[in-house]
Amino acid sequence: MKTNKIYLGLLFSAMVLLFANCTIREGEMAGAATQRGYEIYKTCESNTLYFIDNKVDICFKLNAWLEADSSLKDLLEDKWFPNYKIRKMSDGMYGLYAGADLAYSIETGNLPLSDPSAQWILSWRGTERDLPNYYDRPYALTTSFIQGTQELHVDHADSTNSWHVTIAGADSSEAFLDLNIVALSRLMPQSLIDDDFTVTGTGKYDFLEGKIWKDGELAGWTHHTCLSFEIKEPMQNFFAYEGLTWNGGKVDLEASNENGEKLLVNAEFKGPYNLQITYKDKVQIWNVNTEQVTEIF
Amino acid sequence: MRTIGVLGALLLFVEFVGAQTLDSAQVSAIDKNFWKTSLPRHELQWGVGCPLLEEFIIYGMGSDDLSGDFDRPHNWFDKEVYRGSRGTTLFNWSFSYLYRVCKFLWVGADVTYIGFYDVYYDKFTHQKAYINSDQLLTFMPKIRFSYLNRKYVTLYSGISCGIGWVIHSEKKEVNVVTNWAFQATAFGVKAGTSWFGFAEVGLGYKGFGVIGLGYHFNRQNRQLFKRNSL
Repeated sequence: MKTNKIYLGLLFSAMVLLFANCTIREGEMAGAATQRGYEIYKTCESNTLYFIDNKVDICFKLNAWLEADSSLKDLLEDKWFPNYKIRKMSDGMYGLYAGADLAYSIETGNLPLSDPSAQWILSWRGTERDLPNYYDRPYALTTSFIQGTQELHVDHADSTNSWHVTIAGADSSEAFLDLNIVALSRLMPQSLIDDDFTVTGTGKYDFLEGKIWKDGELAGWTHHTCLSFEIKEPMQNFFAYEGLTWNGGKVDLEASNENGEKLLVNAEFKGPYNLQITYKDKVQIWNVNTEQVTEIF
Repeated sequence: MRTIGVLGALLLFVEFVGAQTLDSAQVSAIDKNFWKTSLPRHELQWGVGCPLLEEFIIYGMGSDDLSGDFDRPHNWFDKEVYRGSRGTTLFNWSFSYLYRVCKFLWVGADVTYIGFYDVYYDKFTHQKAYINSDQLLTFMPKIRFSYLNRKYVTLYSGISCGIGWVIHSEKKEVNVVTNWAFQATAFGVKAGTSWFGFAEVGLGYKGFGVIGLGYHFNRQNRQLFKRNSL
């Protein structure tokens, strides 16, 4: 009997030791020192190119549609505006309709975009549908231009293949874009995103997060982050596997929040796919294809 | 190999003890209600289990990839940290009470507890920044079938199903998530008299494997049992 108890004690001790060796999980690596700076840069890139692709390019596509032979108009309308129908609203004024709803109106002044005097205005009613869909996009989409009537101005700049694009956020928003877009492959591209182009200028995006409701109405947001940028050297577009990106140029960025905190980032391409990020006095080269740091200074 | 060795030793021990005792059929032959006085009716168990399954339940298969933060600009201003090794309370602790309703059927409840602790370090200074923790507490009513009831050894299986609370603390903010909890014990063995040891293999909130100590109440008829079994 006493022997049995000793056996039990030994068995218990052995199993305690056995389980005491369980490893739960090793620690993770510290990660790239400029990771946060890279995220900020990518958010700026993503939003600017999204804006050019989804708003500015409407003007270029409509211009190509207006310039096209009548036999090609239906084809181009189906290709570029599959969700809309183009209707002439008045002299020099066109509308893009989603069913019976006017989604965009475009004031052309009866001048094609290729005309040096062209001053086009693209207007739309900012709605909730322009809010960022966090789960579909890797980087946040700005909430800058989702309220009130938005007006995007596309004017000819000082050379034949460049356009001045401006928009200001409605209401109290400080958001704005003031960009110069230069077409590289042809003087008058039919669609910007099907062509090579560069972007220069400045801008500021709002990011509103966390809705606060009061009496069933939107009363505010828990977080308000701003991202300002100034392009120092023209940013060159590039069609990567995951979509439109930048692959050349230099941009300074400043992120700030409602608490007055600021983060400064400098992003400069040092060759194809090699983006140098300077953040919190750390300098690293990122490969924009693999999104990995390739060089540390 | 070490696990197989320990389990082998355990089975040999069961056979060794079992060979020296009467089986339940013989006891029933003397008196079909004899188990009420000869076998323990009340039981308390204290056990420790392997914590790996609980880690999976709380954290899943997710990695610590930072990509989840990319789309939340307000997170840009959070302290930049990385996680150190994940610590636990070493074991998944369980406490059980069981009452023997009839010879082969027990009812009772399990209470289990395990805590995980993640220490985060500043990415630039590598100093400790903060600690996040997840603590799992469960209460699970339980039913057990003991299919071999001998004087010193009992073999059993069982199932528990109840409620669990994950108390998540992140940067000093605490929230509690309530969910179902369960434990299926495929094989369990306990050996001893008033004090006994036990080992279980199963799946659930107590862990894959559980070992521990327990205590039987109402062993006052032990002498009677001894006398009749001779």
